[in-house]
Amino acid sequence: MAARLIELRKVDKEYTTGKLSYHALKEVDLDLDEGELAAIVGPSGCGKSTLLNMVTGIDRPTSGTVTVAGERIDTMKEDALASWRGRNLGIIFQFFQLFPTLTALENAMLPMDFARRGTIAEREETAKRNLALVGLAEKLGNLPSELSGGEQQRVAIARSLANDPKLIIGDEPTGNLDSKTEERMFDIIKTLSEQGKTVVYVTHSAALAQRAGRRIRMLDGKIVEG
Amino acid sequence: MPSALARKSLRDLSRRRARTVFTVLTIALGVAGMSMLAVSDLADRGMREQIESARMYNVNIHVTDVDLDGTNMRELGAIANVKAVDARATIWTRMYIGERRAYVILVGVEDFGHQTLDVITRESGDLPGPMEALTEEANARNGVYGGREGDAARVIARNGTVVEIGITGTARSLVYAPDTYDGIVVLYCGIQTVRAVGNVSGYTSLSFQLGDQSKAAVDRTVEDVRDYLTAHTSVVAFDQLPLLRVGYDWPQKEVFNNILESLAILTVIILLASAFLISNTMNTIISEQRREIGQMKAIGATSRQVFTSFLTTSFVIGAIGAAVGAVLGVLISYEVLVTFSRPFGMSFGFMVDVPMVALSLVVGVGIVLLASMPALVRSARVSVREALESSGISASYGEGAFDRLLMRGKGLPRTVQMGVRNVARKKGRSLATLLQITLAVALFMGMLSLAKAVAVATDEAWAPRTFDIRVEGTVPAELVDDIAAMDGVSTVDPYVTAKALIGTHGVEIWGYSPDTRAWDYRSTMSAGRWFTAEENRTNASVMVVGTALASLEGIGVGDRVHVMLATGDALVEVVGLQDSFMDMGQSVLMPVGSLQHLLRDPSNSGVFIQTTTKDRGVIDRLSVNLEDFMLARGVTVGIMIHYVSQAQDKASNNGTVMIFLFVSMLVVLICMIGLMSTLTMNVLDRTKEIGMLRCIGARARDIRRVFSTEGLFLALVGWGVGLPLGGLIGFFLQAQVKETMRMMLPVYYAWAFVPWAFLVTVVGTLLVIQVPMLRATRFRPGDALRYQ
Repeated sequence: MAARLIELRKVDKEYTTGKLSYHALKEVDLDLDEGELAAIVGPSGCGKSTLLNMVTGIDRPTSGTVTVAGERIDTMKEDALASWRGRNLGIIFQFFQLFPTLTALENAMLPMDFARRGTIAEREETAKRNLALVGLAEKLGNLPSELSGGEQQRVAIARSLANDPKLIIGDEPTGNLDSKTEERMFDIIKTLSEQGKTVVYVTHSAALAQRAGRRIRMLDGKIVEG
Repeated sequence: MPSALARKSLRDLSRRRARTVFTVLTIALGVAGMSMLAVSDLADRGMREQIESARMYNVNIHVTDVDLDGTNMRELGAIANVKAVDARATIWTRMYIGERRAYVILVGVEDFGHQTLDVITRESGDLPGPMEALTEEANARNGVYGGREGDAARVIARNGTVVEIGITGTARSLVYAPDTYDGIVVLYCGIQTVRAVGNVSGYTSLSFQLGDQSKAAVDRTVEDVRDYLTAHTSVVAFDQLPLLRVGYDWPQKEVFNNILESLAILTVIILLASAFLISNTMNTIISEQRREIGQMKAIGATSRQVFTSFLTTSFVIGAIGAAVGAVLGVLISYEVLVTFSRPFGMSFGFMVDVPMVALSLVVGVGIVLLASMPALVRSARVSVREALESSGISASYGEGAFDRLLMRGKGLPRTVQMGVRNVARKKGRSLATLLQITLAVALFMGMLSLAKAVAVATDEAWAPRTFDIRVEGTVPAELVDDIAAMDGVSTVDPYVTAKALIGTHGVEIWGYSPDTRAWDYRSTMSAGRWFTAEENRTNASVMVVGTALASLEGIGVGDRVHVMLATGDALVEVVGLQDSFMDMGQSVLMPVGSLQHLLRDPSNSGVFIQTTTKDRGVIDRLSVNLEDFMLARGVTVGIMIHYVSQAQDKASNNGTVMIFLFVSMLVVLICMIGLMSTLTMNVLDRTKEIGMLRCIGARARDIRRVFSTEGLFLALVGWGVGLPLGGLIGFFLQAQVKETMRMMLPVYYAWAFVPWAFLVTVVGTLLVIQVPMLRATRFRPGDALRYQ
């Protein structure tokens, strides 16, 4: 039986802006095991991204607990959380979020630099391997401005693999790509899952959701299915 | 009700409050700097009223004790062009302040209730009776003498006895107060008190108000007065060159205005530094709002409307900044006026230069609009598609050679690499920041170079003066040998001094013995020769002049030059030039015998003394013994101690430098605000990136390193460029001081301060970037990623 990787208990998240408050998550419980490939789906504003932000520690719950890989991340201090994230998570965003002044290779090495993982040469070796894995072995020295959208997203995937995390999180990872490129991206994600990584992603694409091992459907801040 | 577009323009200001505050502050400082230009007018206005009410002299003549009766006064008043005349008995002597002695001027007034000219105004207490005096207000203000009503001033009478003069109150006078600036005590007494203390029977000072104040008319009147006095009284010659004052001029006005004129250029630099920052800010506002510009255009806004919207924003920023600056400027200009006029004995009520306030407002708003214009024009040209696709972060990094250059240095830590490369992302902003840092470093170095040049000039001016004590006042010939025999005295060298005019320049002529031990002429001669014993013996009309005076008057060795002395005009041959800083390079030296001959007075003006040791304790004790020795023989003299006067001279010159330093610091402050503002903008621009960095494991110190590298990179380049520019500014300031202060200055660059400038730049940068960095590291990744 696979070990439990993610455990959310009675997670509430309320955003307050001026006089307005918005209840994004309402007493959400969620368990995910190692090796699962899960898609979070639902209409806009239902709390999908907020739920991912709870799992990555990007946001903190208003109440409830978040345990990932056996650690209570909702109580961690910001710096400790950043280091934890660097070591344990790989995140892929819809808009790639690459650093424009760093080359593809440097972007893919950056999380290892922060985690001080191995020697510089070892980091470079790992980054090259990850870029080769996503088919970008020829474009190591290119800046983001010299890459297409699909290529940039592949660099983002290579970057997410930098510290060999157990968990890969994707916030609409193919949302900004054409259907052909989307297909290729998902193949890479699928491969990672098959290699034993736990992959959780948010998507609006019904086709992409269908290909997940588990679909978590959300509505009005609650998990209604999965 | 304003339109929605107008409301947007106003609300844009509150979207980035910190930036709005920085920008307003910068404009305010720039506009406030303009107030320096008002000080001169304010002083003129204030002085005009005071000169009128004080009925100040146009010509003031000093003579040796002359008896004038009512007929004489009427006849003097009847000389052509003379509107009014008044006579006083004024003497210089010494007084005790605690245990030490100081110079004092006793001004004897016939009747305080009926003063024709140079009115002395009683401020407090009672009018003085016999052996009583009013103390000049500026005495206390300049720290010269703190005696108050009820105290007694212990004055050394001309006969050597110490007399007590009771202080009955305070008074002020535009004529005499400036003397307190030179450390001289001024006391106002009844004329009988002065006559008793000074051992005079008549008057020593005559003041005239003239109708026609043109130079020719004044010269003619002075000659008429001279003719009258020599023909009808005991006067043989004037004691000093007549003091002249035209219209609403006042003593020291030229020096005062020259200092202010020199500050004008710094005012321009302040405004330019402000303009940089404003241009930078408007660029940032517009690039941040590219998406909104697209949205506005998509829903029907014309380019003109977009332009007007941002123009309104700049106008409001400019108006608020200019208003705050104008108020600040009014306060600064009054404070500067009071501070710098105080030593000259002037006192002003609160004044506002309304035209300058209006000009400040117009210039303040105008400069903001001008500086914003390039950004505003660009904003109007943005197309809808281009704007809506904008992510707010430059994605074109890596296109230029400069970007590629910054990508070198692979061995550096990644965060440092990112910091260095970030410099090229907003090149315009980085360039503006660089210019501001460069300006700050350049001004810092320029000011230090000026300060060093002044210090060197002061040292050089004193270095050839090889005496230890100067006795000021006539020393009878028979006492010179007695002084030479005193304990601690090595040499005694009598000298003569007199004021004179060479061309248009007022100079001090010094008569030295040809083999003087008080002045190291061998080290200072640059052309020609020193005068000979034979020339001294035969009273030859020869002189050695300073190179600065030679250059100003176009004088060379072998020239025969007209020298106007109190006794009249003389033709003197220039036999040598000396390259020394004495008298600001405008020294004039003659054989002592020759000068005595021209002055028709065989007495000396004092003696230079070299001591047997440089021990300051010995020199101090000898100075007191000397004064006592002279007093015991009925001779009142002043004592100048070389090392004390040198220190005072240094302190006084440092005061001038401080004025420049104060204004320069304003510019440095603006530059530092500029740097802080730029880095704050960078942090805001890259908020999402900060969130991303956090997402992939960056700690607070990693983020700090990215931004501090960027700041330090700019600071170090600014330092490198600022150093040579500082040399140019230094040379410019030195030229300004040389011109305005008529001070000979060496060309100097403060090499020794290059490491200091480095330290100040780095520490200053690290300090000012703390605020934006704190902001950067406090972002939570969720907030940062949601940031718009």
